Amino acid sequence: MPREILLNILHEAQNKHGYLSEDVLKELSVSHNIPISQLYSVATFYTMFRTKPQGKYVIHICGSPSCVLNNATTLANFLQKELKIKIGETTKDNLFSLYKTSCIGCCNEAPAMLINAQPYTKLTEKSIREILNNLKSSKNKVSKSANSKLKKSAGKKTKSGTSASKKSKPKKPANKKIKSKAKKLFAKNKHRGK
Amino acid sequence: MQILEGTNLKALARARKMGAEGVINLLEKKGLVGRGGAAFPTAKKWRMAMQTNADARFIICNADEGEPGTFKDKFILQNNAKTMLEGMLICAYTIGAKECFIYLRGEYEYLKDDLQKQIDEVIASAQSDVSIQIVLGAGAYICGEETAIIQSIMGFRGQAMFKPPYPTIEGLWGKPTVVNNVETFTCAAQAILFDNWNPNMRLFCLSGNVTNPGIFEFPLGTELSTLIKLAKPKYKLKAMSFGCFGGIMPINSKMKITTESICKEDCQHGAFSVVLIDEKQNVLDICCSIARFYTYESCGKCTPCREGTIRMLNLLKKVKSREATNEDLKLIAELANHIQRTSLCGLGQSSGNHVLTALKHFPQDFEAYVK
Repeated sequence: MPREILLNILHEAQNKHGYLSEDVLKELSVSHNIPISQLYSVATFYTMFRTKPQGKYVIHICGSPSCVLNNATTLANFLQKELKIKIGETTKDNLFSLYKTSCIGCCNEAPAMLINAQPYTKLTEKSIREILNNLKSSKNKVSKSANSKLKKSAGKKTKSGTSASKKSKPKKPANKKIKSKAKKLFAKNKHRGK
Repeated sequence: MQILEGTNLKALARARKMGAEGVINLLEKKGLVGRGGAAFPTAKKWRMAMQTNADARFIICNADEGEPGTFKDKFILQNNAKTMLEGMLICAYTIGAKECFIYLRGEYEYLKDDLQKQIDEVIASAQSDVSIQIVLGAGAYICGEETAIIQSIMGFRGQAMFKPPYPTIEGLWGKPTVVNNVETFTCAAQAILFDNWNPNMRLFCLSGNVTNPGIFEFPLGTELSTLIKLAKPKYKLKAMSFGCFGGIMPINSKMKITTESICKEDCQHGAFSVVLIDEKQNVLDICCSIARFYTYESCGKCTPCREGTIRMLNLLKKVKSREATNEDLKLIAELANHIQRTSLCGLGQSSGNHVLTALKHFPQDFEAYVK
């Protein structure tokens, strides 16, 4: 039996829901018997976990020396201009999020970026424009619902507990129930995590 | 390349014949040291884990190579993963572990499915009762540090812990744990099987201002000019940086690459990731990029590193914007020394190397900006 590893659980949840919302973390807290404080502390520690809604395509452009020596800074500016957003932001149509990242291990093919965990290397302004255009044109074909789901959740506050993640899983217990169960768990796990 | 030679489970069979003590003695004789940068003798590490009294032991394969300029573990995972897995099984057999983990960095997620397939194949054909589970990291450089990796696998923030106790005594879930990286496990299998295995072979990751970057295998003591010739720089080279942490040193093409020759320049070779910088570049820009890296990757546990790296970046930016004075340069050196002396783990302790070595070897690149 493989062990339950929190990082793998969080990756799976993020792949499913797009990001780790408060509701998702609450559900995980109950189903895996882990205090939500621990979940939140882990989710916010690692840069690849996001607690805010993301674009459908998350771009990480490398900002470490080997790429910087090969024009990555100019390309990062170019990406910001093309997408009309700044580093750390998401486009209005929720299609792209843009981040700078530390080395992604593609130094021999610099400059490089990751889009949804896939590497794109030896970038030029021309190739970036092509990549973006391809993704934009596949937007209508692939998973229209995923995109609309993102839009919905982006506009909503997660506080009240009726976000996209819950809608897609109607069988989950009501928020109230989760809260009381979570409370019990907190009491149980008081001495944990030292 | 020596590193690409497959062992096809023959190394494991040989290890089983030799017995645990025999394996460790052989590795000791062959002189295998950790390839992550610290060069800790592998036999010693395995022996410590083996001799500690415990009801369970664990193995972690560190595939979280985050050092900028390093991509050798990816190369091995893509081309010789089965030998690495065999190395892990040999270690498991030697120390008596039943559970192994591969901590794969999040940026290499695209290697995961293929790696899982190869794990299944190796476990099946080795008829092993050991489990190997992949843990996918999530973009934290600090998780390459052995105590941080343990915290991360146990489901906590990946922050470094005070040593001792060392992981070989008290690691994952309080049990003896061996943490080695991808290259070390691969070399372990090869060292056991091949009689002519050369312990001095190293993988050099060359990148930066060159037209032919890549991975090259050479023995320690190779002349730098040999590497430069292969990397084919477009312009004359001026400096080389060992990843982010190892420091920046001037190019002396006649230099023989050894630990001693690099230490002489106040640098550390680490995993031999060499970023080559040509004369068109300003070393100050490289320092800014490295300082930004440390600001971003500091785990936030100890104050000198968390706050100091931010101050360092601000000071370097001040120099870059031509607002700094000579006093600021002194302050930069003082701050770098202070962070190095007072940080808990290797990240903080090495976070000043780049600027200290740059100030020593390339003062003109800084002074040109000073008021």
